[in-house]
Amino acid sequence: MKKRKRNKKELILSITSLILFFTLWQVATYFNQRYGWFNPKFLPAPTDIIKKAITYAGDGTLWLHTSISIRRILIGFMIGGVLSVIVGMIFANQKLVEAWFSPIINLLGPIPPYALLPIIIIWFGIGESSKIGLIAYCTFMTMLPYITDGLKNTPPVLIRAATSLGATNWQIFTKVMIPNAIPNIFVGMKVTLAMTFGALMVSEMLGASKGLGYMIINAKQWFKMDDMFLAIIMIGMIYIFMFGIIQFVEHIVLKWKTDVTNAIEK
Amino acid sequence: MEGVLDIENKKAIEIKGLGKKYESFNDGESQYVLHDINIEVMENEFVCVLGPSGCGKSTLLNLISGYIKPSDGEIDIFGEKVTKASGRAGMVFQEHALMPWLTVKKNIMMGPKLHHKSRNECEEIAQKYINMVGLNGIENYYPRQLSGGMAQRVGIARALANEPKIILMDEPLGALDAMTRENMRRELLNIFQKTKITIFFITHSVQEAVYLADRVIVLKNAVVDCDVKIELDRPRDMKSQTFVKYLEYFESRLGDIPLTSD
Repeated sequence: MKKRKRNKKELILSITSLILFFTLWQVATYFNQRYGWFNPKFLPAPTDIIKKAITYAGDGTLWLHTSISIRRILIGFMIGGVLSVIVGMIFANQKLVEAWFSPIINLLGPIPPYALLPIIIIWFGIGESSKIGLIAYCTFMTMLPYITDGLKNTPPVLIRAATSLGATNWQIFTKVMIPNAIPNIFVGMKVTLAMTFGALMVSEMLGASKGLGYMIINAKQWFKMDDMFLAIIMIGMIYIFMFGIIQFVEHIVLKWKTDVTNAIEK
Repeated sequence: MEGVLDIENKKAIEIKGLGKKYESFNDGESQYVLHDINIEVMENEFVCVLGPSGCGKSTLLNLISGYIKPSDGEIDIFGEKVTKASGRAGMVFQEHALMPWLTVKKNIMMGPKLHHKSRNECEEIAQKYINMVGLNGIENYYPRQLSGGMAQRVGIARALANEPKIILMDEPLGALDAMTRENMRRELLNIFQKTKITIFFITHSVQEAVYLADRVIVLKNAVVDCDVKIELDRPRDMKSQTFVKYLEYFESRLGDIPLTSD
């Protein structure tokens, strides 16, 4: 009961903080227009952006770009995520396979995936596959170590305990190692999401004709600042939404871990 | 009549000429942590292995459970040689080793589930041991929400739920406070008498060994120092003269090696 009260208080605080931020922004643009501190075109007012959003929502432009970005990020994130889970599981179980492939992954790992985009475009063209490919690659590379670590760092005593109950190797893997890795997998997903969005932006800014990244680049060409801000806000909203979903699922799946009392009650 | 005698005389664990050596870090020479160990544990017997830390008692347990492999000799469980880790003997760990993501009940159900028993059967078994060990009311707690004593009860119930003939216990009461420890000793004996299983128990507490065991084996300097039957009726009075005599005897056997008393 007390906890819920505190949550409510936190919610009110964060809403107030957001309202304050946009109000200040609005006020700043108003005074800027009046006194001409800098070119008013550089910083459109929140109300202008909202107006723009309504216009674009009406003619379908907004949905066109947003939906394609959502589609790309969902497909890319899923492909990369699933692949990293599969490869992570193989690595954790087959030391030989890991010994063969980890040097290659370690070699590619430090290279910012975005640097590979031109090559990917030349190889696979400017279609959807190269964009989704980059997003998936980015997700895969970032998430893989979280998964292998989570699986490998299973406390030996838990494996012994399961063995003493008669678990087979496969059962140890599915009933002990995988549940043990799940917290790590969620951490990995949350960290990876930022990288994934980076990949989305880069891939949409180079050789694309749709998507929020394209919207930004296109707006720059025509000096449409409202469009840029609108696209940026949309990206932020999609990110928050996806992050929220991951956190929500995490909260349910990791009830045994997240359902904790505070270290020090206040 | 013969059948009864047969059961009575069955060897649960037979350790023959067992040795385990490790390579020393300093000079690369191998050193025995256990050397020429011969122990027989009968069915329905409660055997305590007593020894100071570092005497190889945990190694002995790990060998019996098959987690590590012997350098010489062999171990038989009910006449069958131990070659790999398996579920033939239940284990109770000092650090209880409960799956943190499973509730108390699901932890206890783990063994039966691994053996693909039906849901109803699993539930029934779990309930039986929840009642026996006294975990009613906390079935749906997660391990992190339990006190040390409670967690260890779950560990014992989990081992029992798999219905093994032998349970190996690695200082299960070692991490508990004195009061909980004493309660747990009594309960452990109750369970032992109710279930009629064989218990192979490792401890560094002389008092605990004399209170619990049918037989106490002292391990010292990698070998069996002595193997003594405790001729006392249960429940044992820890202040009785004979009890104290046993204590003194084992303490003298262990010599000047400092022991943690409780």
